[in-house]
Amino acid sequence: MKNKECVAMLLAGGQGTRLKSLTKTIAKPAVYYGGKYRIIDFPLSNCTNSGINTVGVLTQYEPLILNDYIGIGSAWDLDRQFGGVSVLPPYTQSEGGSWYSGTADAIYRNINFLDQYNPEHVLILSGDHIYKMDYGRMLEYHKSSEADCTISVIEVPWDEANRFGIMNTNELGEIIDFDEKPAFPMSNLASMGVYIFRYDVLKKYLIEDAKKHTSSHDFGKDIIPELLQDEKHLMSYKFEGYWKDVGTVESLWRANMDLLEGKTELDLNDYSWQIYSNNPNHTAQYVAPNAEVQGALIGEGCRIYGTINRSVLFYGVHMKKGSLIQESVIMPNVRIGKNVKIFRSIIEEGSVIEDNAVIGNPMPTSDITLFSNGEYQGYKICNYDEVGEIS
Amino acid sequence: MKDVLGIINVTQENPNLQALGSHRCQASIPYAGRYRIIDFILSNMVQANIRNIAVFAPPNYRSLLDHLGSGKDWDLEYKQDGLFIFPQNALANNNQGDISILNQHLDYLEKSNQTYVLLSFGSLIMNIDFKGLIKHHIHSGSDITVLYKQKENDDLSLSNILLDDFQNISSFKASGSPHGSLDIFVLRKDLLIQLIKKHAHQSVNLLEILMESADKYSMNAFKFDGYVQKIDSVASYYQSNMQLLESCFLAHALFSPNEIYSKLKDEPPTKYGETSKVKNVIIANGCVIEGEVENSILFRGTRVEKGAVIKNSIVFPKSVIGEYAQLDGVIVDKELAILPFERLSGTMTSPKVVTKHKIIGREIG
Repeated sequence: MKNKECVAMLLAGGQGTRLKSLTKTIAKPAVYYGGKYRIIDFPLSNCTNSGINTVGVLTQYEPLILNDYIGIGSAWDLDRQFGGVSVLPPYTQSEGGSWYSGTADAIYRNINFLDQYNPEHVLILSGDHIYKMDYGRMLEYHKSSEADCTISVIEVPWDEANRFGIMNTNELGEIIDFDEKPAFPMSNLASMGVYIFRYDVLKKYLIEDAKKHTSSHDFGKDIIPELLQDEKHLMSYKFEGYWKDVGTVESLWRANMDLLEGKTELDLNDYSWQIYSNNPNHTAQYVAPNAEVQGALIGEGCRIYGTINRSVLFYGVHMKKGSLIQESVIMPNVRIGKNVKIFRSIIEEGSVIEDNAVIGNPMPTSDITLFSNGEYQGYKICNYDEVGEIS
Repeated sequence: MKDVLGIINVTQENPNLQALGSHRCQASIPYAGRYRIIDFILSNMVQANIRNIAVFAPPNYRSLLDHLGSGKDWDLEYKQDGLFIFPQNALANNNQGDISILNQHLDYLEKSNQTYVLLSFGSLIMNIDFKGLIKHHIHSGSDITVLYKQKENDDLSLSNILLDDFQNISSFKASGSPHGSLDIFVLRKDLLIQLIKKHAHQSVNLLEILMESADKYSMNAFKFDGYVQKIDSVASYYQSNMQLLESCFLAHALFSPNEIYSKLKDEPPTKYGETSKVKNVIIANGCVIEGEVENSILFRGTRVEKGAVIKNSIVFPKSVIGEYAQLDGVIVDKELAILPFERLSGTMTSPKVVTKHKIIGREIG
């Protein structure tokens, strides 16, 4: 029987309620980031760049856009003869059906999917983070240390450690204890939500966990503590580099602003580890004679007649004369009228900003404004520039 | 329009464009920031629901093949029909004409199940709804229909056609005629096969044969009123690109009614540094701009380093313009490095072309 050494399972069912209206009709992994991408492009591109070509994407909350976006996975070279990408929503069986009740439950209910590839290892990923990581190196580390489970960790500032799941390790890097959001952290190594399990071990613990009515069927809360209790061999794998959880409007905005730094930690122009995405067909962007653009990331199909300062513009944004965009993120196909001022805001896809409008607050300490008045358009429906005079 | 087969015949290379295309064929010369010349005719055909398209390519077809791939980005990947590329043999004598290559692939034409053929030659930049032309051909009942335009005074690039009151063509060699042929033809496939077979062993071009058919077959003309540019010299290439920078021209003339497809690439959005100064510029994705750019067109993945000044220039994909370099009236070929402090200039009528085989400041290969 053919088998795969490692199959990835990408948890993409999260609602991300703290992103407010950004996730009203789309799942968090489908949220836009970086002038062109959706968050899920990062783990999917990491998989394909790491040589992992079999990925199950577990969806639940608002899966329409996500399903449509992932398609057969060709954007990430994940349309393979054996393997490739599979979208795995909850389903009904002869004895009935229900929603995925936790991260572990979602994997448990797709054991039949994993079995058909008979993998030696399973990589568990979450669709909520922005980072570039070579899972292949982590897999090598996992294999060479003969661990039952390897958890990727990153050093976080001590004063923020209480917001994360913290791993306490010994000098060999073995995980001896795990604290979910500890009030008094013993370490500053936070779990990145990236796990590699030996499949036989994972399968056994998932089956046992499923029988427990008291369990919340969650990796962090149930599976990992159970493994630790049974003294299984758990290793930590230290990741160094850019890693951001974009769970809130503020952190999503900040992660976008990070891309404007002169030499960014997250280099989108690094062709040796490219981030792939669906590429809508647009004309090149146009910057008019009276426009001013400084410190910006701008997508295709944009028509810029105003001033842009430290901002990220997705594809198909039209901006008329006399307008100013400062420290903001403008999502696809937004129309901005004349003499508009936008400060420290995220403007959602397809919004139309009338002439002379003022949105947001320029004060550096002010909250980030989230603005939306557009109907969700879907990337396929409105992917081409309007033709016409816009200046 | 499923009953129409599209043929794009770009086998005949224009020696005046040699500077832009010594290592690429003219159909794949970059245009308007992210396109290649062939994208326009090809997209127009696709938008007219033609889904069986053959491209006859010259011997230096590599860049064209690389650009078109399977045809997926033009939505031409089908189980039946789709995109077919027939490159001309490099050993073939160019003076033989293109009839031999058409004859060689006659089986493709015979096997295709379309009744009509829409045939285009050369490097035209235009956006046209071909459905009108095809409908006109079918209704007119003539053997061959030719697309033409009203010529502007100094336009020598198009062959003159002589028209009667019923739009019938009697000659392609009418000097002083205000009507210019765009060399786009519609005819029945069996007539085309018949013409190819008849001339199969002669050293001629299909275009010549069609032009000489005016007295043997009924030929009707169909007028095109929109913008069209025939790229036939480096100067006309440069000027038509510069024209795109005139306010809104880009959107109006070139990108309606049809969406123009091109090869899709995973370039990140373009990054403008704190020191960038950009005025009246068309820029594709994947560029990094730290210097000054004015009245210019930058293709994908161009880097403009700090202090560099680019004016009235066209920069092909993935070139790097070094610090404090100055370009004015220059066309920079693909993947070139312009060294820091280098100064290059050309004029509107005679732009300076920096080609791929030469890296400024030092010769390679």
